[in-house]
Amino acid sequence: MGAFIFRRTIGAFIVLFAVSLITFAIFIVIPGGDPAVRMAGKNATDENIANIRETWGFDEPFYVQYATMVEQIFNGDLVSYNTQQNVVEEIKRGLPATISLAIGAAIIWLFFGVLVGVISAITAGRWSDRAITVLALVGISMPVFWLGILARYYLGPENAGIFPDGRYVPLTVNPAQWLYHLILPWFVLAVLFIGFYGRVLRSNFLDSMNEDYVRTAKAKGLTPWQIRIRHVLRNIMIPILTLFALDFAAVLGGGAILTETVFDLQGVGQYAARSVRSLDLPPIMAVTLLGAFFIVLFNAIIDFFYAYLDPRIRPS
Amino acid sequence: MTQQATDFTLDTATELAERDHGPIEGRSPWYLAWRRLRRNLVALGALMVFFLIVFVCVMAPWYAENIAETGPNRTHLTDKVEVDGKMVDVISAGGTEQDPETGELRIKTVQVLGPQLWHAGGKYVLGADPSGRDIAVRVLYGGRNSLLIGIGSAIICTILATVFALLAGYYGGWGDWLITRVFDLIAALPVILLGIALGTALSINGFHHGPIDVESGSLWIPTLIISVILVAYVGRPLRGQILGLREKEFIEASISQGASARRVMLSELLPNIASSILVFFTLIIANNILVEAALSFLGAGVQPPNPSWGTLISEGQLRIRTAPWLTIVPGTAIVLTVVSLNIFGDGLRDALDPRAKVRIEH
Amino acid sequence: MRPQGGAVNQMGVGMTERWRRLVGLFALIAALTFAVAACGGGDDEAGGTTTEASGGAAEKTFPEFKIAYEPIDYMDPGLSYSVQGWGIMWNVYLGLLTYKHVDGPEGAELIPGLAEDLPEISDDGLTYNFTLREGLKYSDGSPVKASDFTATVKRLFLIDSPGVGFFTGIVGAEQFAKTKKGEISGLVTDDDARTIEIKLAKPQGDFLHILAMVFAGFVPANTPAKDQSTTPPPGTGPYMVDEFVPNRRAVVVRNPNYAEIDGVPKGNPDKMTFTILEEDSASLQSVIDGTNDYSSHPIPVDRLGEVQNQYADQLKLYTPANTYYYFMNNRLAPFNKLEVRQAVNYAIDRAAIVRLYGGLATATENFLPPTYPQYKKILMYPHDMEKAKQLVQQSGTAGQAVTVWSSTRETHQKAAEYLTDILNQLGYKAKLRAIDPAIYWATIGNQKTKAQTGLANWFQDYPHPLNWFDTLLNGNRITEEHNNNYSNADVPAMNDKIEELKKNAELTDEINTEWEGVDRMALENAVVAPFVNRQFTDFFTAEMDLDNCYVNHVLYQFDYIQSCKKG
Repeated sequence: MGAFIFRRTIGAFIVLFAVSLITFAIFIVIPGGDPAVRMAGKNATDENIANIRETWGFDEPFYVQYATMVEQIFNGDLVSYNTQQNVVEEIKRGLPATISLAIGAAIIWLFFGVLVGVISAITAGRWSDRAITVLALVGISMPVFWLGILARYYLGPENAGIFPDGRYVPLTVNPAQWLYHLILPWFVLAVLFIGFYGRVLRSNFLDSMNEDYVRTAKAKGLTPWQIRIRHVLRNIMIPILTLFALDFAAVLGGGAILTETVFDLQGVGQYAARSVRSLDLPPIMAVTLLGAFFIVLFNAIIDFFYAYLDPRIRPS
Repeated sequence: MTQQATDFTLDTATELAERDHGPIEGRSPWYLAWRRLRRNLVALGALMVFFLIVFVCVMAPWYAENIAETGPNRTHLTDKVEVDGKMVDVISAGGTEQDPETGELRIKTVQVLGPQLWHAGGKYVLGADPSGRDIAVRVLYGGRNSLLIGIGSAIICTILATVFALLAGYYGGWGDWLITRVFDLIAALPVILLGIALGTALSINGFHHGPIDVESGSLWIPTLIISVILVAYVGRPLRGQILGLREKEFIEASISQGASARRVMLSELLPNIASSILVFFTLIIANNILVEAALSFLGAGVQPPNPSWGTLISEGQLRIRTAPWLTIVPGTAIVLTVVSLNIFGDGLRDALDPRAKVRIEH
Repeated sequence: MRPQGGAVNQMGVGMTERWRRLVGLFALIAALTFAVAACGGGDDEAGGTTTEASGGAAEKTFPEFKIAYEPIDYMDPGLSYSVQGWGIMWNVYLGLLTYKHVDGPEGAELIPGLAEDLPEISDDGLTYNFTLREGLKYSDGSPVKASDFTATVKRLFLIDSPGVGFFTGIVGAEQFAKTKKGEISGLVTDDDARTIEIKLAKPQGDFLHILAMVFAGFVPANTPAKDQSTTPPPGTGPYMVDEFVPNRRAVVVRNPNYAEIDGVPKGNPDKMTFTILEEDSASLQSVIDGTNDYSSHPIPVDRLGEVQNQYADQLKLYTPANTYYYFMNNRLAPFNKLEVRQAVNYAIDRAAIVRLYGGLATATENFLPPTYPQYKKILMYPHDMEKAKQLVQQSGTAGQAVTVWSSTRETHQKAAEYLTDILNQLGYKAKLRAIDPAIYWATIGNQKTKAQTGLANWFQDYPHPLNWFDTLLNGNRITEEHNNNYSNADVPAMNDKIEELKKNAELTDEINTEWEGVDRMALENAVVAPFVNRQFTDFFTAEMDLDNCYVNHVLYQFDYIQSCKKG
């Protein structure tokens, strides 16, 4: 077991290293303008630019720059090319919004996804199943940002007035407002996943109903409900939860960029999008590493659980 | 016990023989799948809708020239248009004027022409955008670009994924290890971020390395980017299937008979995953259209002034109060296209893999 | 019932008696009313009776001014180069000279700030002598020394400030820029005598304005040589920065150690809270809701109508000195031909472009904005598409590929899309390339980009024509990498004129006329194609008093410290 954890940790580091290298390479190989010139501003002198190059080490070979940047990330010293603001501080400021969004949306989509999927499976073929299938299909076909724009405008203060106009209120400042401002983003983000999870759950559920163990259970005299809940549902929850963990990691790692941008939540995703568009390498590196870290972490957790639960997979 | 409306049978040889009152003949799985698909009216209907959308978008240049009489990027800031006999400004003059009483500067707001439907003889059917461009023309051209990118990237992505999956699955060893690591890596990078990063970086100067010479603003850039970032999404499941097939006896038999690697891959493995590829292909088109819309919305996909459904939503967002149709129309177009593809993809999958359709009866 | 005069009614009270009682009752009521009015309406009284200038301001004080603000680049006077940063810091960091806090062209007048008086300038225009006021203190109580000026300027070089270019004219500055060690020989100060002497290498007509910039705002000598935005250094202005959280908020409060300087008011709000919002519509909405008192963002174009109709009294329009223009690279085909550049000037319909800005713009053919005394309206290129096409044919460049550059900012991109369309109509193969604003200027300022044409704009750094013609159109100041002369305009006659006029510190009528000539030269050579001067909006809640307390400064725009609420 210990060896397994050790190997996975090494693997994780390698992946993170590779991710950071690729990100760095994209922005070195594909030129996006000299950061020294950018920093020097409108009225720069040649001297100015040369000085900046030296101070910030832009004239160093790229592997030195890479190493410096990674070091700065871990020291918390990293600053943006555009504004010289501390990147790590800015990420810390945005994390509460991103995490609140991700966790809330995840709970909602898991709950409703399973609920909708089970109802759909149990009533397979009837109108409720069809209605849900249609809705689910529409849900996964909608561009998240489009839904968000329309929801924000039509349900916001200028029209229906049910929800506030985007923006994030920290939990520590006002819990009621925190909730109020997040409900719409939660549901918008969850819509896509509810549809998807509903369909996956439905198809897995129906597939399992044909398995031998279900026939055995029926033969043993268990009621349909007992079969459904005690056996089938529990069996299919494992792959569902796997999927859930991976999706949650992806959302935490930057998948909520569009929702954050549309509702102006000022989270890490929005910061990342802004930085990428302005080719500001330090925040891009930091956010990409953060995102990749979450994805790798959750992958490792899942693998660990599988190994723990299934002795066949456990490496010797 | 009721029969479902998607009147389902396995179409086994026996069933068909009974129905056609003929001898029991063997039928290829493709033929059987086609029969099942034919009965799925909903799926076929969805396919028709998709083809209709594609057709309409392909006709964009014809529409632009003959009905709207303008181009997708032509501005008409000071032009007038005849609406029901009267000449109307496309964009009214606006400006500032002095209030006669207080002498204060007041704003005379600029009015942008709204949807005319057919009152202007085919021009500005869906109204104008703030630069005086014809929205209907832009929606059609935008659809053309979005579909080109969606379908093109789906083709490239599927081909690449199939090739990688075959190579990885067949050869195994360190080739497989390498390809799997590459897939893992791409999957570990937050996809949208990677897409925006590449899209932004490449849109500045294009890509001019080695033999590849792509101008910035070319549709190839978003197409290739989307293909690359989603190749793992298709490649991994395909590789899994191939790994499963690899162990089967008929493959071993083929190899021991001296079949070359190419023959095994193309004649034995490929046909067995063909139905998966087909289903993936359909669903990936839908997915890629959504990804392209997202990238274009964020400015990292189709470059201005060229329209795509994503850029149109982004442009419309600023006018949502006075011209909500600018946002609603392109978004609805996306939903219609993607839904129809998803419905058809579902139907296709059901037709190709009938076991998934068997239900419990109660 | 009619009263019978003198008759006694049933109640036994005489009529006159009753009348007297009534009168008495009325008198009592009247007296009470007057008494209440005289004593009770404290606010009204206090607001209306004072007449002296600063005394009146003191009466208009109010506890908090809440502002919805745009993102600020730096809260460090040595680094900030934006309207947003300067809008706050011109009241926090005073320099030797400053501007009068008034409306209109008078605001361009330089007045002594920390200096006792305007300087003595030597006849050759190379030496400036100042004496610092006595007893000045920073907001933390420490004394202001003459040598702090040297420290402030040196700090600009040490932190590689974007404002460094303004100060390289000082003797010894370039040397200091290279080594970052030692002294700047051109700056000689005496702390006891409170004197500051500045020697320039060449006469600079705009140097006094440069001394009034926020870059030259005094900071203590021990201020660290790196970005201090999150711990802003103490200053000498009427206010001080209490807190700055990047991208979130800034809190500015009164400076207890502010020595009142004539022309720089003490200010009305006790505290100013700037909430930084990215979205224009959210900012507007927060003022409509009352969460904030003022929005510095431009009003989103699709809400202009709504605001004009429902909140006309809370809206103010103003035109800061700005020009939006298309640059045309004089060194690259097809724009290296005069006919082509003239064709562009004829082809663009400036009245049409005004509509792109929702009408909040004025068409212009001048490079200099109309707020300048040196402005004389140019009407050389009336919109004429036919003539433009002819010129293009003559030049033989039709069919060439042209890339039009722009930033992705909506107000830039729309104009660039328009130009792309026009160039296509003229027979070129034009394409647009729009990139993020953060990298746009550096990209088009790099000769390697080979940018043929595109969008540019300029908002004045200080009110002097040199800031326009010298910075942006002087052929001698073309550089490889951080070029501001995007057109690579290099007309010898114009260059010489600019260099000549650079030497004059004073703007006499003759000099002004000469500047008008430079403006004309720029357009005769069609080095650029200016198209509009944009107008902007200030939007307030109904509580803000816009009749008495709205001052829009020619350089720094709305003066927050002079705002007040309705009495």
